[in-house]
Amino acid sequence: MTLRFKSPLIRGALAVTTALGLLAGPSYAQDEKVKVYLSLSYTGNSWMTEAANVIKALAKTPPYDTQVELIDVISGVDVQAQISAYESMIADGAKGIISFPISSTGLNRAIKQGCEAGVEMFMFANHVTEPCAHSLAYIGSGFGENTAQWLANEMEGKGKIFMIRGVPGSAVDVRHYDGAMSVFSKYPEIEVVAEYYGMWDDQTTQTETTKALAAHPDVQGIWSQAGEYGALQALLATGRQDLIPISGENSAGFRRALIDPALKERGLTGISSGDSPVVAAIAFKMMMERILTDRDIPNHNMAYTLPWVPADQIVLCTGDIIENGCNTFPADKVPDSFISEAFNPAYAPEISLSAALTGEPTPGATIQPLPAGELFPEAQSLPGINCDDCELPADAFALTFVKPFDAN
Amino acid sequence: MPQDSAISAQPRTLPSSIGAIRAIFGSGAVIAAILYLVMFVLYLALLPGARSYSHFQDQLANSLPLALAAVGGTFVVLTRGFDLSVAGVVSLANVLVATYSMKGTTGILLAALMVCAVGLVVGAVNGILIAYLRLQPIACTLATMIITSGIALLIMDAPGGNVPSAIGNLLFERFGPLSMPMITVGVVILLWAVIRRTDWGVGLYAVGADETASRLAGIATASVKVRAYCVAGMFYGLAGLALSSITVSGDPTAGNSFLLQVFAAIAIGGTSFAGGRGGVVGTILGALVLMLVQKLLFSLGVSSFYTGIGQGVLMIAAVLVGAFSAHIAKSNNT
Repeated sequence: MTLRFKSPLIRGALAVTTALGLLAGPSYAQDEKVKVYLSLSYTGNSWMTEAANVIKALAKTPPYDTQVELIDVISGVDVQAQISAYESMIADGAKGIISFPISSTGLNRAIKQGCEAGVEMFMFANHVTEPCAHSLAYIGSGFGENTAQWLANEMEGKGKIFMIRGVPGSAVDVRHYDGAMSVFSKYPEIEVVAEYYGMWDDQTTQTETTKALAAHPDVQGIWSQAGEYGALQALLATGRQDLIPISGENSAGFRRALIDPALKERGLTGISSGDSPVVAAIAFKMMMERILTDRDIPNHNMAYTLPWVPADQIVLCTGDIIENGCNTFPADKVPDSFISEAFNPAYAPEISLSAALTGEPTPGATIQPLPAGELFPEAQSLPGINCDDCELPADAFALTFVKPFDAN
Repeated sequence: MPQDSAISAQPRTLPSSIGAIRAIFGSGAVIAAILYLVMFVLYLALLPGARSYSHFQDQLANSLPLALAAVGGTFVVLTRGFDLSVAGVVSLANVLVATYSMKGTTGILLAALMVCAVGLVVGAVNGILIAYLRLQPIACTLATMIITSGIALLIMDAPGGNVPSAIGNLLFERFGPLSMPMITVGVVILLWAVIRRTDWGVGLYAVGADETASRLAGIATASVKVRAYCVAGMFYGLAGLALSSITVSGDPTAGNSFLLQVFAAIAIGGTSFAGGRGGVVGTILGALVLMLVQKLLFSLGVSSFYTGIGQGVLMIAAVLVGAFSAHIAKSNNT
């Protein structure tokens, strides 16, 4: 019943709003800046905050500060909300959308709509199967298998381990896990005594690891996705003297622990690898070069090199920038949860510590063009992540950073 | 019994114009409709680029999964029940469609049958446990939600799968000026108009208003409830199918975001959680309002952090207006 008088009212509404729009019209024309949107699905963790910050800092760095208007939108973990956000952005005349896509497949229709409307669609940290979008991510760069092999090497192919996964139902988690299992399955004497989801979160990982440790105090190694600092905290909280190797991601707390002499003395070793928020900054610069200079970027699914920092290569930075081979910051500069890999001097020299922490531009920095030539290689085929009707290559889990200890 | 249902959508013939206004505002559907129109006009005013028919169609398509799921939930809420299984059934239907669908029009029909069957089974389990074994609805449906979510993860451990293009295009088909979402909503409203005149439809309101009195009056309350959960389940399944058409893929956790939104849509649509009051039309409008909130906040330039706050405030406002008008209407009648 109520629907019946809806349509004439809508017609009336359209007329009113068209009139309003005519009045508001000229103010849009004065704006010379190109309008681009940052679309995040969720936020609140260090990784996403840093990714958003580096993009915001770049947008305020000259000359982008006068060339681009960046509007950020956080739509939550619901695919439909991000579809809706994309649609609104396209309707609002965006020239580009830089986004962390919550789904590799679910957003395709909206992405295609954007491409067809001439919007540059750039994704970071995750790929999408819609071929018209560009994306830069490390998913196919071998995190799972390389960290697993490192752990197997440390344990010489035998012992009990925990496997700490990410978020259930995430394609990224599955790729990492499959990669890791491709290694562990080769060592019958490695026994996975507990496998649980840390939700890529330190607190959850700590709680779950505490439970696992209560059941299996004799664990000899931990393979972890993001959240490794929580795993370490749980281990330390047991008060045990002998520590064990942990493979994890890039939190500053984890890296600092790995070079702590007292902890090293007790047997703590580790590998710090995993996703880098700087991909957001690099993808943003690629998008801006597409928009401003029409740069040709032939590869659409681009693979970012896996960050790989063994314990003996960890060096604390003394200043606010990454220099002299340093790769994390002291405790008075960044919290434990800070993702150390937020920098890339070659592709994003504009990003300093303050940019990653606050989203403010680095004083005195100006935008440096990206290197010439092919920027990043095409990522491996990841079914359901960056291609439909495709197969994972036979050598998908080939090791690139470590050699098996038992290899000849 | 039918008097109870009359409060919701059919304005009584009150003599004064004040009475008429009260009757209108006493109906949640009207409040939701007004809310939607005001927000829609504001949205178009703020975002000139959105003034296209196809943008409106996209918006409708985007709202359809929530609308269908919330329609299902309305049947249960009318009986004073509660159904959390929506999250699990939507996820399960979504991964089933993305895993087992066939191409072409027969594929669509088979997929629709499949999701309805799944929803029916889950709904029947809920209904029997609640109506005959007298278990608490929240505990029961929480359990079936966890079970169905688990099965969804067993079928598909990560987002993926492929939805045939016939299903992918389903919600975006046009028939002249009409689109599939419009037709679907029209059919649902027609069905509802028929259902609420059947014994079962009247029974839904009666059971929700006073179960003991209904039983004494000879209504088979248990069977009314079981059927409500079954129909609800089928709508959740169809919501999962509609979602598959939008996202063209499966996601074992796709239904999670529906859980709270479904109840929010029902509340905004004016259906009372105390049972016996409300209806499907209001719920559909409630779902449209909820999906429009994020668009409106976008056009206002407000950070999406506030989407939840906006939706919550709207919900309280809608419930308040509904409760207030119902209160006045009631005290006036005695």
